[in-house]
Amino acid sequence: MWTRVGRSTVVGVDPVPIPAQRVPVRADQVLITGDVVADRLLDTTELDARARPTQEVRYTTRFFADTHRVRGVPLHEVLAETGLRPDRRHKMGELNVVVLAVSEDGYQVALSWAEIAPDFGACAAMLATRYNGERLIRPTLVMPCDGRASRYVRRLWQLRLHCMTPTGSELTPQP
Amino acid sequence: MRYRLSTLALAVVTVLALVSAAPAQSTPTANAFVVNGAVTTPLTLTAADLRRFPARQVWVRFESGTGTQRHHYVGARLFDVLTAAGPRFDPAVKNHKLTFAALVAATDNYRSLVAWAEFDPDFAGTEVLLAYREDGQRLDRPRLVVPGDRKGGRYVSDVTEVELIGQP
Repeated sequence: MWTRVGRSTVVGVDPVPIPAQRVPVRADQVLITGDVVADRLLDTTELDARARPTQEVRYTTRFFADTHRVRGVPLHEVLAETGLRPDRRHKMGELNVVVLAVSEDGYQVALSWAEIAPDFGACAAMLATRYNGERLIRPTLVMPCDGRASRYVRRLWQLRLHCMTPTGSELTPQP
Repeated sequence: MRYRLSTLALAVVTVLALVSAAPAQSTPTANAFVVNGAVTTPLTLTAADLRRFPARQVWVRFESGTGTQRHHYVGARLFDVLTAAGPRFDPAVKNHKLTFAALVAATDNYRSLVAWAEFDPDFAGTEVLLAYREDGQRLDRPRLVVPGDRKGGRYVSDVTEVELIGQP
């Protein structure tokens, strides 16, 4: 859920409690919802079946540098299949889209659609189904371009896309 | 420690100077742009005001409708400008800042969005600028510069508004 307060736009969900789900989500699934053509459920097993070869990712923690081996599917590929519903009244409306990644426990981070799009930031965000060889129940969002791991979202539960339409009189929020 | 204190003092003086120079109410004037949204101190700035921030320069290359473009920009980091406006991050929420993004608009209402983590030095750390010089020429209004993007869609010319969006 996101609402607007005055000229400010408010993005995100309350960490607790998790809002009622419109679509039942199994313990091994991820829901893609929001400004998409239609809600979509991803099975971790099906994602794993099409995972790319294992790659290494590095980031620093408070005390040391860490390296991990991950395998999964590019996030942009999954979102492109799902179908974005950008604001077509606005030129390049997809450049105004926020992708909120939410974990089972309500932890959430924001990505811009552009930073993961191959034509723009191409940051190689991934839905990892295996982490250091271990098969995951739900994917982990992996952000190889980040110097820290705070946007690595474990037990990913939901990907919520929001098209941030202008608050001015020339455009109104999408239904 | 002395260095840290002097750096802190400089930052405080910079913010106070900007705040005193800009009315709290975001009222655009000629060639001014506003920094508003989820911030404690909305700012009204001009391209000239951006020179009060530490100057950064980048050389960029991106694809546009007219072919490959290469430019040199000088400007202030988006991170520094938004930090001066006081983002409303809640320290009680783990990594609250990672749920924020900046929506940047132009005079013709064109706009694009950059996630906070993209330009935060602790994360992706892209040197996203509000540029006031392009290839040596002074810009009347700043231009959003997003180094690393393969296409120039997020380069917003003639910026009028930088809106920080995020949880209250």
